[in-house]
Amino acid sequence: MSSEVLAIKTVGLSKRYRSTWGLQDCSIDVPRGRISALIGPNGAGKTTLLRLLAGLRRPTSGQARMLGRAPAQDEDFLASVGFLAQEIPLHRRLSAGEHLRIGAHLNRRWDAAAAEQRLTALRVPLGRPVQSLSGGQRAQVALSLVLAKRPRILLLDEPLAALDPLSRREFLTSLADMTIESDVTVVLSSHLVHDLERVCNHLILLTASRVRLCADIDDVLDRHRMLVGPRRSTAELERLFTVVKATQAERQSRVLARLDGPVPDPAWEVSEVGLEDIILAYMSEDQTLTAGPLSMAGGAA
Amino acid sequence: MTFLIWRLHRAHAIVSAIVIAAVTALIVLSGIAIADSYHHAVMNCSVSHAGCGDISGIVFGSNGVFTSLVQDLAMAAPLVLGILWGAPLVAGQFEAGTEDFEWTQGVTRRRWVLANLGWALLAAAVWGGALAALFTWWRGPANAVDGPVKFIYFDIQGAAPIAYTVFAMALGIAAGALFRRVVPAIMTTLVVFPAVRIVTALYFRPLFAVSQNVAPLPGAGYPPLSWGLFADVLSSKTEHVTYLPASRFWLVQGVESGIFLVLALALAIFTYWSVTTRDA
Repeated sequence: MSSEVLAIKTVGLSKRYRSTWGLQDCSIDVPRGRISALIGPNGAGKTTLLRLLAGLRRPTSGQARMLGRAPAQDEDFLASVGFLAQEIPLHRRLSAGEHLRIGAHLNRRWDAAAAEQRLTALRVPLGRPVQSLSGGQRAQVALSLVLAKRPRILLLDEPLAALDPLSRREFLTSLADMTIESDVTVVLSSHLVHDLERVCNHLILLTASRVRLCADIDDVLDRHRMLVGPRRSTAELERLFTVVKATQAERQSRVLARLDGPVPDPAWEVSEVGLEDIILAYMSEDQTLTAGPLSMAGGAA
Repeated sequence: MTFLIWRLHRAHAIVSAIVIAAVTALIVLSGIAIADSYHHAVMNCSVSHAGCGDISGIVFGSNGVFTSLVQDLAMAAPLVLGILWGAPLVAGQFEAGTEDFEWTQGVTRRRWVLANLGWALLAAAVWGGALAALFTWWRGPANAVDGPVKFIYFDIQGAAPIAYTVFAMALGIAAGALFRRVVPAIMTTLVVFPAVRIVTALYFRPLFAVSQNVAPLPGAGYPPLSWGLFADVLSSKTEHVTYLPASRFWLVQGVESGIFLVLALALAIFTYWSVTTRDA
């Protein structure tokens, strides 16, 4: 039932490492066909979440569903999910061409032609050992490999980090094209909000191993507002809405809030906020205020 | 999986083949030298009656360096395979991060680990078997003089070296799966393999010895070709000797092969568990 609408659903997903939480009580829904930006500061749990979803790690508690099924060591699950780790894992001494042949042997579905075409267009040599390629070229090889699998869910951990701005734009465009052409859902982690805003239509925000936001970007933009007014207590606002961040200047109060209805007090001047500002507000607010995670699906219902 | 394993370990296989070819050359040269000295010793004995009592001493004494080199090689061969090929098999993937690539393709970790273990242990058996065959051939004439059961002579011929090699490989792989780092895996293999071999050879193998009272002979009272362990002079007429007789060569080879193959199986099961259940 839910598998038809949701590509990814997690409920209370948690991962505990020896003394710290990698991820705590993570409940997210990612509808099919979205390109979701997984944003958060270093150590927020982005990699943990992606590795749990890819089935490389097992949760301490909670569960994940990928197209309705739990990550597991079976060929159907593995075929449906593509994962690219942050470190861009490739066999250093093997060439891109050899990786493509290995992939052809390890996967039932394998589009080597498209990958070769992509790499040739990017002028990445197919015959040279990958250790002799530049960091950007290696990233392109790894991306081509994960795309060649034709997965239905694509999990990319910091795929843009090794790319120059031009390759970044090219790569994001090809991702966007891919989601239009075929039924694929993408989650890519990054801290480059600016780059992601152009192609992503969904956002998962993690701070300190917890989910702070998980919603379509349009909804996030719709519901967050900057309220500016004469200096006063934010208690009334906090009772009505979720205050993400409040700054008190000498004569002025600036409040970034998540609204669930009209602002009653006309003294507040309400204005729209950009995505980057919203994300930064959540990140800087971090532990000082404890706004619960926002589920747009629940709020809209 | 076979394609991937072959592509990743092709270099290992080629180097192993070259090493086996080099060892073969060394053994053949050593064998020719031994035959040559034997020929001279027999000639001297028949012509001038010199050195007839100690032909073996003359033959193997004059080839001592060669002989001990070959023996050292034969003793070290399983360990070399365990640290150079076994230890990096899983640990090397973790150090390079390539398990993230291989474990997210369309092949389950179950299949991945079974294929890797299967081919690696088969390669170890082939390597161990090839070397054991060479060293058994090389030891042939010496067995007639010294017997096959003394420590080191026993350890480099027959079937047991195959089991030792399979064990060394399984040990390297399991240590790599445990630590996920190549150097600790190599160190573990370097310590554990010789320790298990020495304990087995020097403390377990003597359990198959026989004891009897014999009339003391000048020199050793042990029967010919046996591995003498203890001798107590009880009186001027009797000596109590404990030794491993040459006739028990295959019995002990069989038992030790069994022990090392069971240990290798246990390590392979650990590796399977580690790869299929631990977080990556």
